Amino acid sequence: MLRRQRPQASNVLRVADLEMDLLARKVRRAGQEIVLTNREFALLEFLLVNTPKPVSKMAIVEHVWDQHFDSETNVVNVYMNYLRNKVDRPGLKPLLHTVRGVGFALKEAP
Amino acid sequence: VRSLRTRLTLWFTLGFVVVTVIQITLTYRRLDLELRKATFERENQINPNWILHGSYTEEEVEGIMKELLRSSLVVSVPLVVLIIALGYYIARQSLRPIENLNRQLQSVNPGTLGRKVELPEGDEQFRSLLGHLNDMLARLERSFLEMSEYAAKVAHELRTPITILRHKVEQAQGKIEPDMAEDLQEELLRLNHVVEQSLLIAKAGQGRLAWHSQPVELSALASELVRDFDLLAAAQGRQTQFRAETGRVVETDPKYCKQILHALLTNSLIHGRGDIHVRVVSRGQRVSFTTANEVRSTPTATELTLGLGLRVVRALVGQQPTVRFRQHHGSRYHASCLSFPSATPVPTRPAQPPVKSLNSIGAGI
Repeated sequence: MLRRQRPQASNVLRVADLEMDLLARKVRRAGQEIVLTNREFALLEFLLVNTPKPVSKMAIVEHVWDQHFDSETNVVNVYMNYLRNKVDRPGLKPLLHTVRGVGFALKEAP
Repeated sequence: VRSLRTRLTLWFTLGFVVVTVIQITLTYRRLDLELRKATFERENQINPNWILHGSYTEEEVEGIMKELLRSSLVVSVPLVVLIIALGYYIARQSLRPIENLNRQLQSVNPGTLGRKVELPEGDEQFRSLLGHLNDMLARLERSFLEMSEYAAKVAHELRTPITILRHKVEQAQGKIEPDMAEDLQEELLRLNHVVEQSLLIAKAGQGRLAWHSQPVELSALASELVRDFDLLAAAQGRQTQFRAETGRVVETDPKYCKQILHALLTNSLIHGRGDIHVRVVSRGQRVSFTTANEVRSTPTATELTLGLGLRVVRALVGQQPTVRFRQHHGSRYHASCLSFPSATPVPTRPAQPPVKSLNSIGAGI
């Protein structure tokens, strides 16, 4: 009797040359490892899961932080800025985009 | 003299002194008069038919009067001291119900408004005061509950429209101006934060938060949170200075404890300036978490907030009588200190025996 095998969920999320290994908790861009803090990792993971759809700030706050950050702290913008500096290094195609009026998206530029 | 106890003692003593002085004065005057008027007759020893008539000389009268004054003072001075002590004791005993009442009223907080104050030793006047106080507390409790329920209902009712608005704004992507969409999102985010915090405060006020105390390593929790705030502080050109004694375990609810620490750090970030100092240190049987920062010299637009963060802290701390919260707001520095009861360290799991691989098991067979 043949047993139906369930397809295994991939542990690696990928967009263009950006790779995220969820088990090893490692991120690589163009073969080079990017060191991220836990929160940056969670933020990038959320964007990767939703790629190429843009996600709103509120959705990011809800999913990445288990607290409701005071909007005065501007937490999403600050973290996106740090993440952008690490992921979109000079010479590489930008992957993190600000979608005006919507939020942020991780995708290859059209 | 502001102390009622001292005033009562003084009145008691003064009353005694006045009565004593009046008594001595009357005695003195009366005796003085009598001694001067008094005469005596005595038969002469030489001749029985002779009778001598005489009276006290001035010196004798003065001597007797001086003796009276001296003996009066000798008795009165220690008596006055005794009366002061007695007066103080009586005043203290009489005011004991007020002290008891004071202690009970001091411990009243929004969570204990339903608890009645009691004075078993109080007399009729105190019982009447007690009745009025308990009525007032009951009215306060009713008002507080009504307010809290109303706030909770409003916050709850606002959740659905906020979610709907949020989805509408997301769906309207491309149909409305991006700038307007961004503004709307920002406002919705702010509104959502206010609603969530208000709901939490209302729930805490009604005692509807389920608090699950367990050993929590405060130093590790604080360290995790401070890492979040590192970047936020750096974005403002500031730094977080974190110092913690490792392995400090406290007895608290991890979820709400995290929320409290988060609110304090947010407060330092939004309302303070300069470096944010965070400490986790143990003091005796307690572990304290302290944040300190310089105060802004001039209020900024961000200070015109509702102050929900501190309300959340107070509401959550109010749920736990064992957790203490103090604040110091000086002209230059602001500091907040939370103190938790220390718990025994979380027992580390015993080392698991190495799991044999299937190959090695197979080899054994």
